[in-house]
Amino acid sequence: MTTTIKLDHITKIEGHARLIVKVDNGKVKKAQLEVYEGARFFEGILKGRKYDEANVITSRICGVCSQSHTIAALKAIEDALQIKVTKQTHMLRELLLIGSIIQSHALHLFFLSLPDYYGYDSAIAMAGKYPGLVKRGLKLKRLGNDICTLIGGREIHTITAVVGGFCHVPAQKDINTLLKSLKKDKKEFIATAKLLAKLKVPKLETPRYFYAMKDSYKYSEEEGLIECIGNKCIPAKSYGQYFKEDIMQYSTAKFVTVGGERFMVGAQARINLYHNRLCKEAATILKQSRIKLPMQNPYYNNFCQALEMLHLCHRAIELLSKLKIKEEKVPEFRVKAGTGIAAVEVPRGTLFHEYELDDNGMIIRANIITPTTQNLKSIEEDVKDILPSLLQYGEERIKMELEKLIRAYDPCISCSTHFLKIKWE
Amino acid sequence: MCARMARCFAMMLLPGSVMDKGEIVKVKQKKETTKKEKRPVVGIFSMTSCSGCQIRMLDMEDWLIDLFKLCNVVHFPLVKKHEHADHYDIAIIEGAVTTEDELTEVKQIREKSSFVIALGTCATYGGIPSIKDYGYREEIEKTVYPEPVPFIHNLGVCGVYPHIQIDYFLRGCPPDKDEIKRVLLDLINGKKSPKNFDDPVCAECRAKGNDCFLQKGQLCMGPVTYSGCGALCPSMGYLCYGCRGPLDDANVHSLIHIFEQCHVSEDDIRRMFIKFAGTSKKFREAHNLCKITAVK
Repeated sequence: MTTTIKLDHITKIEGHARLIVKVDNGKVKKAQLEVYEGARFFEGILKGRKYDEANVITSRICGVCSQSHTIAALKAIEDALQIKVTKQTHMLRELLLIGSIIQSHALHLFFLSLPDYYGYDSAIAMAGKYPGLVKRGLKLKRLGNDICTLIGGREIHTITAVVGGFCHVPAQKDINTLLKSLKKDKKEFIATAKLLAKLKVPKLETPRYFYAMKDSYKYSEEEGLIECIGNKCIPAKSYGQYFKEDIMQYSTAKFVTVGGERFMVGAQARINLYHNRLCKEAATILKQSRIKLPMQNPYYNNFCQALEMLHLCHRAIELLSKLKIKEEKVPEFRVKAGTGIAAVEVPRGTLFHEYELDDNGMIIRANIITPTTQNLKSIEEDVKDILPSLLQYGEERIKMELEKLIRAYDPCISCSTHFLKIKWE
Repeated sequence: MCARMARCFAMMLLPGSVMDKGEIVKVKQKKETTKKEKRPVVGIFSMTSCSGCQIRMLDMEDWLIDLFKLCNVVHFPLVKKHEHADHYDIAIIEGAVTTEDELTEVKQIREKSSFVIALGTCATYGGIPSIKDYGYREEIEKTVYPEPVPFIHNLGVCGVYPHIQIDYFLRGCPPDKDEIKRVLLDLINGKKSPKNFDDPVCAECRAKGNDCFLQKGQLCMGPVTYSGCGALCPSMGYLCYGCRGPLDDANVHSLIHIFEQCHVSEDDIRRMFIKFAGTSKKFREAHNLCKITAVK
């Protein structure tokens, strides 16, 4: 007997996706994650635009992680034009990314994922019985947003970050205010990480590869390397040789594999690879959780996000304490032809931007690989792996469990459907 | 006793109500909710977009909880499971219409709703994704998808507006939080038509005492763009790129004339108009005035 399970609209994720599963006599025949978000053709749109428009345009790929695209675009363009930015610009950009990761993780944990675990339809419904928890979620999101607003001018679609640096820097007194509130509210991050450490997760231990940038959680000016547990490092600049994209006939998003194998990127990959860089509080919570490393179970991604938020709060405090803001001019540069690549660790994993410019600084080719496209294959495979253990339940329960699994990955569908330019043969 | 009779009577009058057990229960529930439920029914809908406008609603944080108390938010895909109402007092749509399915959906939303808000620039004009429809659409689609994929061919990108009638355009990429709050509060308090902005960004920019970008010889869209953002970008040292779209009486001819004095190419000027609101009549007119120097 063949049964088809259809999750028509997966809610509480960013964007539009559905899942179709075919089960034949207790065996999973097919699991397809269909992304039906309308195509936006960002790489095509970028063609014929000027180098300084890349960050403005790509920021609109995603409203959840707009800062990530802004910074990746700026870094790639600066790579093409060989622009060296100042130490202050590096610090402000790192802070912007930290703000972006904190608000994105807070949104995902408290509004999209936690209601699943507490048996509620939404965080708003949860607010009745758990007002403190929802308020904490809102507070953490606010802190992330505050960092983004202070550095970038507003919560999403950053204004101030431009090629070469910043067209507006925050006032020192505002930096000090933010520093104070982060110090005061660090305990909220600690409480969140402790809470997530206690969540019971379903069993799913299929081994997989984890990739993350080698400079995760630390500042470095070296050329980027992507590290994978048990494998050799990949230089970020040659990502194209390793990360292969496939067009699926059923999805407007492309699926990425390395050597034909699925892999996972994001908070869990970063924690698995670089847990020894975590701040003291985060490291203690990880140790006390007694979870075996590397964590294979994708449900732990939620816990990893909470750990990472705590660490990043610590890092933001460190950076803000060091920051002595001064007005700086954007360094002089000459517009010329060239190719630039940037790889940046963003909320959901490693984000690649690549641009080719002509003599006038016009973009003639753009390529963007987002973290969610890298996780899609893994999500599909995990659905196949976990289904046999769920078949004993009714359809509603199966659907709920599958949604929970997909949500654990924190997929960002808009990001994955703006289409990646790739030449076949 | 009387209440029950009234309820039965109401049920008979309700179109489509049948004496099937399930149906009766459904109708009863509805009746009960309307009895204590005076709050406006709100739906937030998402078309093709970056979801930034839904995030914008969430960014209101503490006020968001108030909003959920003041209104019955039935549909909000980023935050809750899909639920549908038969009627929406306020429908908020984010994103551009790019597929047949979305076209059908927005039409249905319009039929079911008393007041429809287009939230953000994609819903108003198609936003950044509408750039693709200028000049080289086929080529752009091919760049991304070398081989045809069945559902990739979408309609031209445009806002919700040409397809359905919109009661309020909440412009901006991203839209302004204070404006969202003001408009929603006005509607919740029974105001029929919240006030829209009708000044250019320049008015707000001057009030803030910013230096004029045009006077410095930079292409700034302030004179032709709807205000309401508090001239945020120019106050942060970045010129206005026109994300709130053209004023009804925008004089694009004279702005092009000013731009021409800035020693830039015609293509530079054309690209300024074809960015966030290229599908608008005024900006399309401006685009047509500049000679297209297509990029190979």
